[in-house]
Amino acid sequence: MKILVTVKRIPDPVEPPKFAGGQIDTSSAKWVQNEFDEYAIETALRLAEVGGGTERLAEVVVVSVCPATKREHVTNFLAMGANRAIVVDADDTQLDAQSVAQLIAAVFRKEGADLLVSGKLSQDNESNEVSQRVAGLLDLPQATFAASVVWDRSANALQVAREVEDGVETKRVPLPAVLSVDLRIVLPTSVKNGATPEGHPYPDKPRLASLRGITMAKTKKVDVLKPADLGVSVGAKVVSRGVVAPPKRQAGKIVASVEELVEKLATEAKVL
Amino acid sequence: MTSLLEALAAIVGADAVLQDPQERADLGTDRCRGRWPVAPLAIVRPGSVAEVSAVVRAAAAAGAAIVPSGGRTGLCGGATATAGELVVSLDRMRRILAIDPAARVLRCEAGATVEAVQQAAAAHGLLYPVDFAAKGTAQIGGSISTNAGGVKVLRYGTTRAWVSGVGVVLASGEYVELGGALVKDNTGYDLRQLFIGAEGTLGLVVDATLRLTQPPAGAVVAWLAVPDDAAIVALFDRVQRAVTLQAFEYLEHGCLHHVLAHRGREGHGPFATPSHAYVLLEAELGAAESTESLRDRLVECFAAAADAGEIDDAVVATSATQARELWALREDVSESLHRHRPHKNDIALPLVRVPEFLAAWRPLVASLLPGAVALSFGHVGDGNLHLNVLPPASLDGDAFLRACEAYDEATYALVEQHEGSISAEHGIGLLKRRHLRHSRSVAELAMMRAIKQALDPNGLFNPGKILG
Repeated sequence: MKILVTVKRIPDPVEPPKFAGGQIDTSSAKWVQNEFDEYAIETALRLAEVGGGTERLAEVVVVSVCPATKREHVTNFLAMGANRAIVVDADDTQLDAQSVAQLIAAVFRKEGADLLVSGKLSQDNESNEVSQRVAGLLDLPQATFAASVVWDRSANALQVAREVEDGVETKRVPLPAVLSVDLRIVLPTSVKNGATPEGHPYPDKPRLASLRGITMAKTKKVDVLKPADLGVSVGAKVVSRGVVAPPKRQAGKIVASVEELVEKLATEAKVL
Repeated sequence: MTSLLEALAAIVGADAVLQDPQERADLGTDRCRGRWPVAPLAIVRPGSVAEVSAVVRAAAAAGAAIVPSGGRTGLCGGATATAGELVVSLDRMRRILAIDPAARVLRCEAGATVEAVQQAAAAHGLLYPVDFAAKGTAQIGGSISTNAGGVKVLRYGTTRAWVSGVGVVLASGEYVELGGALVKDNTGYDLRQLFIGAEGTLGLVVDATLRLTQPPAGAVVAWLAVPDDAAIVALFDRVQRAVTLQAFEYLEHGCLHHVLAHRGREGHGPFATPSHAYVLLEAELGAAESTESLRDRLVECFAAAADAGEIDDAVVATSATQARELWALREDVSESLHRHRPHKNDIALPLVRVPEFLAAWRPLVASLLPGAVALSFGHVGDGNLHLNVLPPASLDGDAFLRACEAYDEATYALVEQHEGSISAEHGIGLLKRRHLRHSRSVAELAMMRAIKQALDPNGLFNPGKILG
């Protein structure tokens, strides 16, 4: 079993975006990993490991499309416990979702992976497209927004519960397949692989890299590929024509009395 | 007293003299309730320094004592009126008077909240670094009078380090300015220092000049598992040599257990197996340093600490969310213990003596309060420990409180043996005056009485506090 996990670098959402030339200017951005991808790697690790022991049921490979020199986010996932990583060296800020999906699909094929796990979306553009496009390109079954997953190893399939508008939908997905995960996937009993003992005390959030993990991450294998190595010519069919900051909200006013409020609503705001 | 109330109404206006029983009960005490009667004569809310002076003169003329009152977030009864005192609340005097970004000083009235001062500084890209949980309610006057500490003392010191000058109304009603915006001023006794931490016993702090500083460029948060208390000292030494620390916080495993149980969770936080205790630390980003570089420096330092047996494991936050979640594990300790009605002591020790103190304190709890649960946490980088004892199921509230009297005495004697302080940051107030002798020598107490006698001979200000 080989599980591929996607991770995207994003401009730190804590810092306000800068604008230049009608676009978001990321030249001085501080890059961090997309938080939803932490849920993906946690899912993959819980599928792969036998909780409480050292045995592994699957190899977990991290894949990211980013400049080869800007791969701190990949190292973080190796430190969390992934076995190795593949970096597709490209300027991700210039690529659209289809190009990224083509690259991921090519890596999936090249690796002969059994499962792709990704976060449900990236925090920067929230487009929520890549995993679905990869499933389409590879013609694989997919389950998106997974809230829980049970790996039925004897049947080589996943049973996935998805939270949908009117309840929980349970799908049975034969492997190989594509999975995107939602926030509840990290609750202590959301991921089952049939080998980790029931009641294993998983925390209710993605793990943090341990000291041993951080030290070991530096020795783990990272393959750097060019899009051309994968036979993919990338570009962007979807072009962003302009990005502007939302208008600034005007400061509120504090009124002294209900009478004053009603009067201002009538005369200034003209909503009464 | 009717004539005093009339005189006060003439000074501040009738609506600024509160006599309603409910208001007197609410405003006549700090957060340390239930131990003493709350019985102020009235609450008076002057709006200017001139009004404060007039109020002080009127109270002195009528022979009424004054209890100065800020945000009343204190924990030792320092702002509690127990016997018909006049409570003087400065909450109307909350203006930020001036800010000088170049000199990095801010002048404000004593009723401004600590948070309001922080915000005024932030508007100029500057930092007022005194920071604690009650900052939204606590006022500058009270924070000066209690020399408030908080979560950043390790990096920035206590309030004392940031008070450049204070304006004080004395027992005579006279207003004096002590210190000011000067950085250097060697002209005899530094009188302003007397009023910092005096808990309102020497005069009424009515305004202050505060120093500001440059906010840090950023920080990295880490969580360390520690095998035993003895390791803390070597670990602190090691980490301090590697990075600039903003916080170095300690909690023993039982505290983490309560935090997680309070959330309905099991486990051991970031690690798969429990350790004896944990340290949360925050390292400051150097100027022009990248977060990655600081994180690398920390990891290198932690790897060496692990090799030396000072830590079992470590995690380093890689996002703001992770940093917040690690901080929450430390910050939620108090709240998670609250429902067990803990008895608390706030003590300070020389850092090197913290391990041996804890090794002696735990058996002391077991022998004096059998069945009680002893839990310690705190700002260990400052040598400040919050000692918590959860009552055993067998003792009801009153019986436990009585049992704690002997326990307090024994604990404070132990603190004295270890050259510590019986009050790290909460003050003395009414609560700890019986125990003050464990931290102050006979000679020191005599000096303190002489100062009180010189500045407030008639015992006008905050009677019964600190010296009893």
